[in-house]
Amino acid sequence: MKKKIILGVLSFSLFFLVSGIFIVISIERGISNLDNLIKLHKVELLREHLLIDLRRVQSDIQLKNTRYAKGAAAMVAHARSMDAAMDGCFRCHHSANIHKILWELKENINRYKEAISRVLTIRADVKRLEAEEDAAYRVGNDLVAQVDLIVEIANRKLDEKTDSTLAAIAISKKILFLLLIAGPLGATVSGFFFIRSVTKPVGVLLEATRHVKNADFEYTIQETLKDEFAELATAFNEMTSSINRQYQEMQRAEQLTVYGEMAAGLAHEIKTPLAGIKGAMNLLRKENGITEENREVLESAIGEIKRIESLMKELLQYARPSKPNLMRVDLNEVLKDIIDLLPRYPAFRRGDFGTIEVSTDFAPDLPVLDTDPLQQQQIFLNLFLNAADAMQEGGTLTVGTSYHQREWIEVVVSDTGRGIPPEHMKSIFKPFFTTKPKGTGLGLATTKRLVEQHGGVITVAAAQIRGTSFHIRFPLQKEAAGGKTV
Amino acid sequence: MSGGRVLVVDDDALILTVLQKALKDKGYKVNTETGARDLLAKVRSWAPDVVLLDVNLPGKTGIEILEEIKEKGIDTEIVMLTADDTADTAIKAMKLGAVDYLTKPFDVDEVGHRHRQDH
Repeated sequence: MKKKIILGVLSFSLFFLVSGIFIVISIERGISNLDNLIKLHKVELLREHLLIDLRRVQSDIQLKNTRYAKGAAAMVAHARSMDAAMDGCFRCHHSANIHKILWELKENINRYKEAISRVLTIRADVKRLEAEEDAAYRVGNDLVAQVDLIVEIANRKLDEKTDSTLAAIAISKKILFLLLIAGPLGATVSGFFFIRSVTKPVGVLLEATRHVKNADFEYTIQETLKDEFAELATAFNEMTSSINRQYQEMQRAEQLTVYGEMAAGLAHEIKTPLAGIKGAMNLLRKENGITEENREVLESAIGEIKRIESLMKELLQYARPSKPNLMRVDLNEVLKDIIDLLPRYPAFRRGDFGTIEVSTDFAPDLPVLDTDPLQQQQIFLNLFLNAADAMQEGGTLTVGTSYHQREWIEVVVSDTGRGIPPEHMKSIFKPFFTTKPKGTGLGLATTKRLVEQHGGVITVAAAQIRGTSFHIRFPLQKEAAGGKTV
Repeated sequence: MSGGRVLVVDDDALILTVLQKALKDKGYKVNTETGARDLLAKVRSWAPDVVLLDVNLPGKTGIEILEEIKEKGIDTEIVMLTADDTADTAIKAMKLGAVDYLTKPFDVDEVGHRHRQDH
């Protein structure tokens, strides 16, 4: 953008500079041409003057012996004036061709002057005098004809020169007018495009800002903007995307809080009548007169009530998890404790089709983590039981830990089970999503919520054909917090 | 302590019925109350060995009633009934002098068991 502005300003300056130079040159050339024309016209006057002097001398010859004669002195003065006019021609013309013509003319004038001189000096011989007068007059006539021709040619050339000068001035005038129109017009058009190139992206950004003002954080700038505006649009899109993510997380957290309250209220309201129903059924089951068939019905009803109890418990754990009771924990020890307890769970005891091996790869000297050990148990027990469910034909559960000093601890839980179909990958952490016939779909959702409650992140690797890997990463507190180590 | 007196306080009629029958079947003398009204007078006059006291009662909460009984120095043991499975309420009740607590939905057999444990 800055480059473009500089380039634009430079182009304008260059345009005006070139235009200015052209205008100055045009004016100079016009003045010079006009000056030449004036000089040529002055020369023209001199030629006319020569012609007039010639004619005056001719007239003096004609009137010499009449009562209109002006006398010899006047004729001599006129002849001198003619001679001076002739000499004046040499002052202006300098080219060789013209000089040749002028010398011829000068010679003729000299002959004319000699003839006049003879006319003025012969006194006694009348016949000879008349002959000399005729001769002088003829020479004079020839001279007049010659000068007339020169004047005519010179006039024609002067007209041509005048026409060409006026034509050149007219062209310059047109170009000047064109520049006069092109300059402001060019400035207006370029200004329009420049302003448009600024106002258009600003308009796009303004529109985007309005969307954000109205809490439309999903809005992104689709238009292709240029230069700094493109950077601004990218930054804006990144900003809205980040706000949108945070906004959605906030909304999700708010929703979870509301659901938690609702679930807790609902669970509370259900528990009291459920306690009565369960108690009543237990009492009836123990009645003496009841048939075995009815007892079985009651027992299966009690079984269903227990399922409701367990569902409500899980729902409460997900929707309103208790606040973590933080203490300094060696996560390796927590994981070892859970693994030691795994044989107690039916999923790990089936062994009908194959056994589940548990392999561990714990990082030595794992930094202690400020966490709630009970919630950690819940997190990993959920994952281990899920892994066992995925390996009903046997397999290996691998649990590994690693860490980045002062940054994070990572636990990887992998199984060699049936894996997760790609179409389920997006949903596995959503509440009530389950592929198990009797699952509540709250296990992984609760795990994720508990991990996030500890500031951690859980991800699942999907690239494998078989097996699944969950990566759970917990941030390490930078400062050494107090508390007991479990 | 077969033959002991148990006062059950709950606003849920079915729970009252079930507990009354279960405890009577085990040989206890049982009396019931549905709320805080006249409860203290009943505790004084009937002198139960154990009061099964629901936490959520209309009017006064079970915790408030527990406090009153303990303040007035009435000699009876109190077991709280609660639908809230977070430990907070139970811990509070125990601190105030309750001997035990049962989380709803409890097992009827568990009620008798707790009594036998206590006595």
